[in-house]
Amino acid sequence: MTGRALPALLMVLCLATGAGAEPPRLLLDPDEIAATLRHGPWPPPPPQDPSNRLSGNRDAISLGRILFTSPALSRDGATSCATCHRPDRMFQDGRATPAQARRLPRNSPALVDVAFNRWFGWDGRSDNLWSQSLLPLLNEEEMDMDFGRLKTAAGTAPWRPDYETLFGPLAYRSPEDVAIDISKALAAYQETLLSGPTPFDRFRDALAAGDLTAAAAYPEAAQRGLKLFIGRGNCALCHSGPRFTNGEFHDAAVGYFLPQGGVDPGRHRGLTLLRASPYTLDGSWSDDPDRTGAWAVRSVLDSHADFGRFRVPGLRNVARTAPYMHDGSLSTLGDVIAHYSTIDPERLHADGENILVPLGLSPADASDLEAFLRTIDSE
Amino acid sequence: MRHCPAIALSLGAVIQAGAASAACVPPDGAIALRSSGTETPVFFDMGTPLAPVSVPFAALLVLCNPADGELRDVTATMPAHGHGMNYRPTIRQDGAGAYRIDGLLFHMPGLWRIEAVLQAAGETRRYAAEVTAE
Repeated sequence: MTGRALPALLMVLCLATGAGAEPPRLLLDPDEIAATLRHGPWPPPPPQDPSNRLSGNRDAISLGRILFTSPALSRDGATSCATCHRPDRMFQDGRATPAQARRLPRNSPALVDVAFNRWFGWDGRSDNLWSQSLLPLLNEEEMDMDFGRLKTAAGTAPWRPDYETLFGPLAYRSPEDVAIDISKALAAYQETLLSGPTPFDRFRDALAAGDLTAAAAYPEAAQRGLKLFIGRGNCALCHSGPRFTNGEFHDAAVGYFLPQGGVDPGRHRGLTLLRASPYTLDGSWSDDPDRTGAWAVRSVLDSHADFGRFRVPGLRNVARTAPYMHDGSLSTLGDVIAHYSTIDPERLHADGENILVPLGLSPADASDLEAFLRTIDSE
Repeated sequence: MRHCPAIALSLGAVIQAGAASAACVPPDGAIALRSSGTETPVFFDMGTPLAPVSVPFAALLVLCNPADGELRDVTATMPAHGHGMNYRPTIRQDGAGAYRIDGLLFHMPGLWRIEAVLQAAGETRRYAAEVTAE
């Protein structure tokens, strides 16, 4: 059922719940219901990556889970993927930026639902999860390894038998092979990090099923916040679809001057790195002979407005993934809402897209918007 | 990048559109792109009346008369926001006066203006229409 097909009685539905009780109400009009339905259903079918032959492979997922917490993959022998992507924190670290990231301080993004991305990293320097997984291994401010060190580490790691079960004798694999093998196993594991249904999904599914009684049980504050999200707030322009992201890059008027001087060029540099990478979906390390998805790296356009643009994050579980923005500069959901309420257009590209304006939200509006956002946390 | 259902829909529309172009009858659901230089439209068939949001899709562009020109470019912009697509679509001729366009992606919901650039006998004509993505 679509929102447009719903009868006009949905404008305001009052359901009696008994004497003395405040009746739950459905506050959305048919157009708003139609817009709401577009944020689901959830969950989608499990992701599969044809560029990674290990995608969905149980043994690879198991090895990837071990590798994710293995300090053997770091030069200092103390750092693992889980250092910044903590399983107990939605696979982020709760910090504004990692302590060791001095040159390009960016917030560690949550990895739940990462497999659904089109682009990876805040600047989209990768077009697939396994190549993105390789980058922290090699970054000198993160794991600080190189291909040779990774092969050496695999030789003495407790997970070597699992590796060789999947890939064959380590001696026959080149150092670059080993690095890509590890990255693809890490990706296979991360594909399994999926968020569950939320109170919003129950509301949305009730609307889709025409179960107005169940839909009306969704808190009114959240409904008002949702109306703002898909309406006056224009949030759904970028935070669209079931994941609440369009997967692309925008200027959110967050400063891109770095504390130590210089700027973070965002998507501009991401595209440069993407095109220089041998590990894209269009490259020979992809396991997909059809090069599915390679159209994006082949056809993505440059724009001078890319400077300072960053990937739009999905909002599922957003209340659990503070702090926010690419640099972790906003501590709370309330701070984010205040940012968009009072956004400074002077900080946006003068000739960039004409989307963001100060929302001028009242305290009640801001409270409602936050109430809605908290309902897209997994139950 | 995942497979796009709209591409499969449009593949089905290719056959319909090819047949329709001979009689200059638009394929069902096709949008007429118009130019100020001529009354004859060209047809843009997405296989669905509404474009998907943030999902790549394919479309077919059909000329009523193949002599109207050769398709040189297809672009799409959001007039309300002042931006275009983030990707350059690919164009492939698919029979006389018919072109398949791949790699279209509208990354925001709302009104998009599609423009097709045709060239014939040294003259460039721009055909345009608006479509909704949601």
